[in-house]
Parts: sequence; C-alpha cells; structure tokens
Amino acid sequence: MISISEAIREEGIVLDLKAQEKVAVIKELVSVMVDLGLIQDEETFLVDILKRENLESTGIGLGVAIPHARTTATSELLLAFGRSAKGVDFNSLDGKPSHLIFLIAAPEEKKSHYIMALARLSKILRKEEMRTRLSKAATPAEVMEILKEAE
Amino acid sequence: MYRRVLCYVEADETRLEELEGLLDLASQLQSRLIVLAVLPEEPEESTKEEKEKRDLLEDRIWNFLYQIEDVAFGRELKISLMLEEGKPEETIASVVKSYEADLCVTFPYKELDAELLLQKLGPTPLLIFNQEG
Repeated sequence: MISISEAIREEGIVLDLKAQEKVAVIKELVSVMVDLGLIQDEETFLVDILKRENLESTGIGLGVAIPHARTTATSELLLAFGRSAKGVDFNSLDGKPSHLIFLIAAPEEKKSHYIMALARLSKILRKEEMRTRLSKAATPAEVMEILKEAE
Repeated sequence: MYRRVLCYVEADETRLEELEGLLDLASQLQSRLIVLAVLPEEPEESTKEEKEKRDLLEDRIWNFLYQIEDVAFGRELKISLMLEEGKPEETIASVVKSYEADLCVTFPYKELDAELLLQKLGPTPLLIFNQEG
C-alpha cells in the first residue's frame, strides 16, 4: 500500500509559493523536487507535467489542484506541496483559484501506485476539515503530521 | 456541437473496457469529458462499520476515476473528474446545469432511474450506452 506521507518530505513543502501563475507554480514545485535530488531530468518532467495540464484541468475544485504525471524523470513516487494565499488559476471546473497544490511524480512503470496516490490524496482533500488544517498549518512538519493523521 | 459531455459512472458496476465507446465518442466530438461519480450522502449517524464501508467505496471510486483519466490522457482527450454526494439523478442534473454540459451519457445501471433523470435533465439530451447492444 502506498503512503502519501512517505512520498513527501518536509523540504518538499512550500508554505508560501512565490509564483502566482499556473506554469510558474509548477516550475517552482518542480525545482523543489530537483533541489532535493529527486528528479533526474527536470526538462523531461516539466514537459510531462505540462502536457497533461494542456489537456485537462488538474484543479479539482474546492481550492485544490493536483498536477501530476508518470515520467521517466524519476524512479520513485514523489510529492511536493505548495500553498498560495492568493490562489492560482488552475482552470478548475468550479472556476475558483487553487490554494493547495500537490505535485505528483511517479515512474512510468508504477501505474497502480500512481493511481492509488492520486485517489488517496483526492479523498483526503475532499474533506473540508483537512483543507482547513492544511491552509492553517504553520510549518512543514505540521503539514506532514496532518497528512499522516489523514491516512 | 457537444462542447462538454458529462458521463455518470458507478465504479462498482462498470468495467474500464465498457468506457471505450464513450471515449471514442468524446474523441470524435472533440468534447471535454466530465466524468462524475456520486457517493450517497453520509447519514447523520452511522456505525463504525458503515463508515469503513463508505470509506472503502470512496477509495474505489477515486481509483476508478483516475484509471479513466489515465486512459483518456493516453488518447489525448480533455477530461475532468468529479465526485459529488447526493442522489444520482438530482446530482447529475445539477452538475449538467452548473457546468453547462451539452450531453449527458451514462450506462444502464440498476439503481439509476433513467426516466427521472430525463425529467430532471430538461432539454439536455441523455445517451445510455448499452454495451450488449
């Protein structure tokens, strides 16, 4: 069973995103993963993530976006989390800006882990209580604790 | 003509292969596909066992929705996923209206009242895929 809290690290959590526009936010979160040494090929990963963004809205509504991709740029399931007080337009169906943004990267061959992680995260984030707690978390350690509890 | 197609699915009653026809249709129409699943409303009081059952159902629904998304992405289709709570017929009609879907598509599910859904949809056409012909 795949665990969300095991796929994310404190250093992969940005509580105050600098970027304000979708592609820039994705690039900011990708660079966090790259700095952690978790992505072998930044350009390939960006292409894979943005290809999906061009086709679908990964803004799932309720102020949440989950940009994601299976990619050859990593060999393990990875998550990064960014928070934007102002909100970012992820073309959500409900038209609302996204404040909580989770970036997911998974190896091409780990399709079931990838789908399970997306499903688990979507389920957690559908709960208003979880969204509120993540919005108010003061430190990355607190975010980690919330995700652990939610699982 | 059909910019947005809403497809209602029941995760436990649908196999991924059954969606091939729907994906072909969305591809031909060059429509954005909104795939909707509906979770029954949570009762005010429920036992631990009922809560666990509901929790597992939600897991299965999200898993199924993301499997659909993965297949659709492979076919370069525009797709959005939604999970709402409520009674299916009312929820489908409400989502069709809110997101201005031009066509509603579903499958012949036992628990879905197609006549009631037609009434609630008003002028929006309803297409029921019957894989057995």
